[in-house]
Amino acid sequence: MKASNIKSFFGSAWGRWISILSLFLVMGLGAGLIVFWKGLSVTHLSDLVPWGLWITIDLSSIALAGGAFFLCAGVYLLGLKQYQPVARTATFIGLAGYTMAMLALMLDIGRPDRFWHAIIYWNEHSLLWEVTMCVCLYLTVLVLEVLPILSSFDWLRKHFPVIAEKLEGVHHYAPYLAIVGLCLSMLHQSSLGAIYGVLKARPYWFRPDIAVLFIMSAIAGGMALTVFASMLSARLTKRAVIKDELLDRVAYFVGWIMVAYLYFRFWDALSMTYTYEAGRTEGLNILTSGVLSFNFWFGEMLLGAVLPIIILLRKKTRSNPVLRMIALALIVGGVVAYRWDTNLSGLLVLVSYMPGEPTVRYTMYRPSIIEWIAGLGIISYGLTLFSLGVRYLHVVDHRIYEQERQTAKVESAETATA
Amino acid sequence: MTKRYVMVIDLQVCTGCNTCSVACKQENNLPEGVWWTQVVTLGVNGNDSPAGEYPNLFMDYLPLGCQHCANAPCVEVCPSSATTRTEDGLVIQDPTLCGGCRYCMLVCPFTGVRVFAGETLRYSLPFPTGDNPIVHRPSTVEKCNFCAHRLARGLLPACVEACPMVARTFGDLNDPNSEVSELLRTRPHFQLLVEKGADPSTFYLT
Repeated sequence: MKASNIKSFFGSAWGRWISILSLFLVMGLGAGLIVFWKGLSVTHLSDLVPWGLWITIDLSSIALAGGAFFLCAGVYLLGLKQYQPVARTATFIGLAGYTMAMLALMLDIGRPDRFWHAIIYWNEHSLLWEVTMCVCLYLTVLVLEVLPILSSFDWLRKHFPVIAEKLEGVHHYAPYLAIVGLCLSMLHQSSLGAIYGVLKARPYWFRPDIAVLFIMSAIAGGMALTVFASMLSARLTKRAVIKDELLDRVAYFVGWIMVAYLYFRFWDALSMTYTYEAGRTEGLNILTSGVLSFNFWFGEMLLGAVLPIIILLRKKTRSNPVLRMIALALIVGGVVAYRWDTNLSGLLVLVSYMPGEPTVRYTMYRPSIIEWIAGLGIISYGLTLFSLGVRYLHVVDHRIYEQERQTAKVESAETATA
Repeated sequence: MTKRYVMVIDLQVCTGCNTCSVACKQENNLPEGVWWTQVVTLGVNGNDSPAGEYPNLFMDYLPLGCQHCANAPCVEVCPSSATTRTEDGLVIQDPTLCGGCRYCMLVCPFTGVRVFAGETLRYSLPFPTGDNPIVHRPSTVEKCNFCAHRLARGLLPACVEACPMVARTFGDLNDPNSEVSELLRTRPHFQLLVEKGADPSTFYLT
């Protein structure tokens, strides 16, 4: 590359953006290598607080990838064909999110070399086993769903037109992939919450509602991120083209999902306030008036739910693109805050062992600098992937409707058998 | 009839000397920082300091290791089948299968029973001690296994043999003539956190 080329690359907004992301990526890679070399002793995770920042990133990125299965189900199973380009964006974000989750898990488990043990040594009782299997299978589904998107890569089209055509052909199976994706996602998106919800040892978590809340917030957060990312890309680059009325409808729907989520959340929280139970009451106190109270009241409730609901459900405010984007970004933040709070409010409280002596101890957790750097590395990996997708794969392009003819054929075959 | 191995610990005679902890450490060749059994001082953070308000002070001890629950939640949740329960009622953690996800540490009601062994295992002695054939693996979760290797040879667990106060008794609860059955018939006793439904195999005499 000539010197002038390099200069113009770093002079452009794209070049600067990619350079910043690469910086974080390299730092994250370094931190990750330190973790693999030194083990979890470089983190502030302990025997008392074994799950922390990385688990939050893992849960959040899977939740925010939830738009993929929901929108694909809407497009290919409910027949809402006009949303197909939005589902395309969501699918790509889904791939980014699930690979981010995989990276976070690789950092978090003590023996990354044994990540495959769950796949070989089955323990069907374990929710974590079920989640591992579902995530691996769904990642496969996502890769298959992204293959047609790869065919939009101009360079591939030019040099290997046959391969591009083959990749595009995978789209023929989109309805079947949508069914499999829907089943797998309904399973693991909720059982990620149930991982906490079945633990009788931790009274704060032990309730069935967490599974429901996790999947509802994942649907809302996933679609919110998809719409937000599409709108932001369209403002920043000409390569992203959106149809605003589509995103407006999705955003409106997200608003109603958030209402339903808030409703369940309200009864979930309220039901815990009656009678004292050691561990549970303290966990709730930590959330509502303790160290997590700011996160809870502002991050989750006011900014993460109430304000976005008002913005998204009023037509006047929703039609304002800036306000709509703010509302969607706040929902995304609220989902992340919910994952962080759920994990920590159960872990920061320890219940005593002795019978008839319900004493409670408190623990502390603050991520170490290595945890932050590695976590930021994972996040910038996701951003890099999406940015490359927008630039080279036309991930946000609402003019693209893939292979109408083929899906129409599948649909007619289905109706014929029905 | 299958056996159900249980441990009965007499809190009336336990003096908190931690001989059991050291015997366990020696027998199982535990690395630095890893303890499979410990003696908790009740009511305080830390060891060997009295709880309560002066002049009503008390200092009570609770020897704590894996409770080998009959209904062990850790066996249910391990994603890679590293934690299993044998016919005889021993809950065993296999260090060759453990992936280090630490879900069992969350699910266990008895905080402090499980230890996450660090990436570098350091030993105070240049040679392995004890008879346990276990090879400790870095970055896995470890816990007491009721000295399964000793039981196989007809011996008692190391902590039971070592206790100078004879506070620990070990045996088969399904055998009505065993010493543990006799003790539990005649002495008042309790299990930890029965309300969690795990049905621990460690009983405390009061």
